[in-house]
Amino acid sequence: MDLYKLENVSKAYGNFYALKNINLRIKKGEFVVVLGPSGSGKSTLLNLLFGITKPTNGNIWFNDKNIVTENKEFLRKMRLNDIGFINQDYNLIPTLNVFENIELGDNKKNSLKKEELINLLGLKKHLKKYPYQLSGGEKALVCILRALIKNPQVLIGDEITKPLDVNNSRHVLNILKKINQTYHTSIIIVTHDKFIASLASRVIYLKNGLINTN
Amino acid sequence: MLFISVLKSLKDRKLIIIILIMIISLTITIYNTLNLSFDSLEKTYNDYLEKQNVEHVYLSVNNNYNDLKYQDIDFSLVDTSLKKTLLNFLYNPNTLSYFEVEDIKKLLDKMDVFKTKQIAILKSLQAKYHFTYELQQNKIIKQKKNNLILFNLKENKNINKPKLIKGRWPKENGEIVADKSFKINSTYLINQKKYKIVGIIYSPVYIYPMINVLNSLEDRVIYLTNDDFNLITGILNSGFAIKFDNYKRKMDFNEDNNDIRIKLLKENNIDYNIDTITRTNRVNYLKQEIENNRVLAKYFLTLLLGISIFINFIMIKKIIDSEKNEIGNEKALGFSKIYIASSYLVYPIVTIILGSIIGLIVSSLLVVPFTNLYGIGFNIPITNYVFNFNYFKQIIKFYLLLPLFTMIISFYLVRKKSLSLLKEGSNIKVNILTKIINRIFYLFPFDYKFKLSLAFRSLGKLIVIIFIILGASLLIVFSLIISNLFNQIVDSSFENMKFKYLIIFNSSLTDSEDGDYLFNVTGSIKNKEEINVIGIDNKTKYFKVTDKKINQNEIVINENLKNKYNLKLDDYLIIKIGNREYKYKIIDVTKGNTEIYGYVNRLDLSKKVGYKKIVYNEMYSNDNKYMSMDNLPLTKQDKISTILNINDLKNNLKKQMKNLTASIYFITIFSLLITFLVIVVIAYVIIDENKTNIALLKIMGYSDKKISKLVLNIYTPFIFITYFISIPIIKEIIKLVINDIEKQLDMVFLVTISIPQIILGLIILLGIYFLAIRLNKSKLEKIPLEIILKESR
Repeated sequence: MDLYKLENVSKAYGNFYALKNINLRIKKGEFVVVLGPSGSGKSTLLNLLFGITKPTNGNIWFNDKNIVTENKEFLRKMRLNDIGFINQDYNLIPTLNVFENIELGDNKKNSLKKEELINLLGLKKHLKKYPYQLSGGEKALVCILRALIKNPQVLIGDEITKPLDVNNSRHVLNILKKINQTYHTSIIIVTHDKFIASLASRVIYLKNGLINTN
Repeated sequence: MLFISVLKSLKDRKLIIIILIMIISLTITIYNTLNLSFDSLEKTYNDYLEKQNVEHVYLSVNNNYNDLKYQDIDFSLVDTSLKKTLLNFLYNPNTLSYFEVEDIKKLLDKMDVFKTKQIAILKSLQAKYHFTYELQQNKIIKQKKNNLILFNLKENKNINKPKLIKGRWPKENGEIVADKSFKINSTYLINQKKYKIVGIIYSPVYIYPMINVLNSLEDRVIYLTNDDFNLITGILNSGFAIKFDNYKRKMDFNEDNNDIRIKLLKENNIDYNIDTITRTNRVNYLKQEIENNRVLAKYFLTLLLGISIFINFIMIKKIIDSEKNEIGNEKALGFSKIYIASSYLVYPIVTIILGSIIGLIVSSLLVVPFTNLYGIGFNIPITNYVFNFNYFKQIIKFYLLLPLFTMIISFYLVRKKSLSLLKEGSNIKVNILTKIINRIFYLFPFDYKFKLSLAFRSLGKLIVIIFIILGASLLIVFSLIISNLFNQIVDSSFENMKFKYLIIFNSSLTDSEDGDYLFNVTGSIKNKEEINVIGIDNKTKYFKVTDKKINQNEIVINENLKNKYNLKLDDYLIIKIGNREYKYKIIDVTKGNTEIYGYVNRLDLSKKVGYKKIVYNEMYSNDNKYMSMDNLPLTKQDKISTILNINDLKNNLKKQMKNLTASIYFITIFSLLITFLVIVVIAYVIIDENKTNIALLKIMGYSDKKISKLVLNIYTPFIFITYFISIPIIKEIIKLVINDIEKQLDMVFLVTISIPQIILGLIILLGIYFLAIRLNKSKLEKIPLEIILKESR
């Protein structure tokens, strides 16, 4: 079953087309990596998946609902309940400790068991720490947990390993892989790091706003 | 290069820069406008005094018929047929009936038997004190709704010249000029005779139209030709308008006044009064009002200026703080510290220049309407509008502190290492207080913890916010207290008075009827300050001074007297009554915020003054027969000098106080506007600083309503806490200010902040706060979610 279905999606900024007539399907439970160099249209694709911007042409289906025609409130609820977000800066609130940062992502509706996840990600000993007391990898894990706690259908990550060294990157990605396998959460990661692609069930190459089928 | 870059960044901070400019321009506007309006009014007033040659002193002689001697009378003025009766009156007064004596007194008044003697005395004083004088009379005709005050145009030629504002001067008998309550070219009936109003005038002795503090009736002023004036019947008052060569002579005369009076009384059996209350008020009240307004405005404006500079400084600091990354980059690029720091001078310089220009333009536009507004209610043609840079120079000196502060702040940031300035958000250490607060509120719902953690993120900022709230609260509470202060004075002055009428008698009496009796004499303290010594009985019906019994040589003083001489209970006060000094022990203090007076035992005072029996010269009564003199028998009427209706007195005093509060209302409106701008800035800062957090919450699916509740309300609890904690501080600050105002205005204010006032202040503060937040809500809603994908913290 499709989680996302993009039909002939284009996005133009003035005369410049960031995405050109994209057709793409992402199945539920898939681990997809969107790979491409800077300016290839990765961020635009991410914005479209989040429902932050609307395409110039085409339709985007999320769980069989066309999010292009849905109103703001629908999109907000979609982000609240179904999408977990992990970004490259992790954006932890510096004055909240780890536990409270995780709590920020909890929508208290369909939450997963906190303790189980904390153990899975190995964050138990860091719960009372503040973000400045964590390493880059630990911060990434807190951010993943914050996104995961509400049990979303998909986790979308933007260059999540960018600030990390190789070991930490592998650790974080392995955790994501484990989440994908344990909870069947779809994972979409946008990156220009080819190493991440090796973990994905599918890799989508973006170049100049087009999906490179090769 | 850096200057240009900072200059360009002004565009991105439009709102905050506009608000900074508005705060500066509003402060300059109100400071400049009020002071220039006062100057304009003062100059108008002084010029008017000069042009119309308005009296310095009005001297009215008291004809002491009881001790009249042969040599006192200029018999050349007396008709031969009356000479015998007059001589009889001088040598055998006991053989005449009461009515015969009164008739003779009236006759003597009419003939002005003392005139020659009075002029001789004035001439002798003139040689020493250098003044010109003019005998000026007026006749009063009491009408139903007003008193008609008639002046003689011939007598007002040199001093107190009326100012013609419409029409022309009378050319013949039957023509009159009158005040602006009359209609030009109409006819007016006085004592059944028609007069034509040919001109409208301002009377210099009626600059303040308040006729009488003692009478609610309106006065209407008419100037007649000499013939018409002499023919018309009315209650005659006469006195000498005196104008000194210069102000110093007036001061000398005032200083010697007591000695002159004693000497005249001793040697010539003549007593005089200078400046009767009503006359002084009518001529000098405008000057007094300007002075009072200046005193009040001075404190408020200083407070406003201080807060304005503080807010501007905080805002500029905030801008520079938010540019720490840029500073870090610039340092890393090798720019010198002084170069980087000085580039931020653009903020204060631009805001001060633009704020000053706007403030100067707006204030120069407002001076005319404000001066006219202050002039309303005064009979004076406003001819002078003062425009100068004096007040601007005063205020701008303080604003120049801003660039200095900016340099200090910039240096503080510049001296930090590039790396620490470039530190990413989540790597910034959490202060100990945040940790403690988080521990304390560990069990609280997440929303509370979130808000508190944001609020405590920067202690410096929190302190600043608290100070801003304190400043705003101070302005609001100060406005509330001041606006109510004058009504309080009136109410407290009349608080203990349960009577309807105050009857003032011509002389000291002994007979009695239903009422409270007072014996009021004038004494002096330290030979310079006049004090009303009021003898009262220990049992009174209609007013209460003290719960204590007032015995011989004991006194209850009023609040104003206590304040003026720093007196306390059980102190001794030496009062000179007549030629003797008496030592009184202070046993209590009573309310009373104007004038200086004290209550003593009536019997004791009667004896001290020389009466064998207990006497009175004033009476409080509730008897409605005193509503009008006509209700009283002739014998009684002759004994009464004035009957005062308490409600009229109260209303008159309130009317007078109302003028004084005008400036306060203006300043209050301006300060509320500034408070509003300040809070708009706070809300703006909150949003600006939490932009990334807001975008994060948005992308996590939080609704705008929830985000605004979480982020915009982070300082709401601090508003409550700061406001309530600040009340005692505000009270103390206001007390200090009021104490100084009291000394200058010679009044005592009761600084009390009532619970309704506290609540009202909080409502106003919260109202302004939520309005400011509401205005910023659209800014919150406009924050794009994309920034979380692009920007790093």
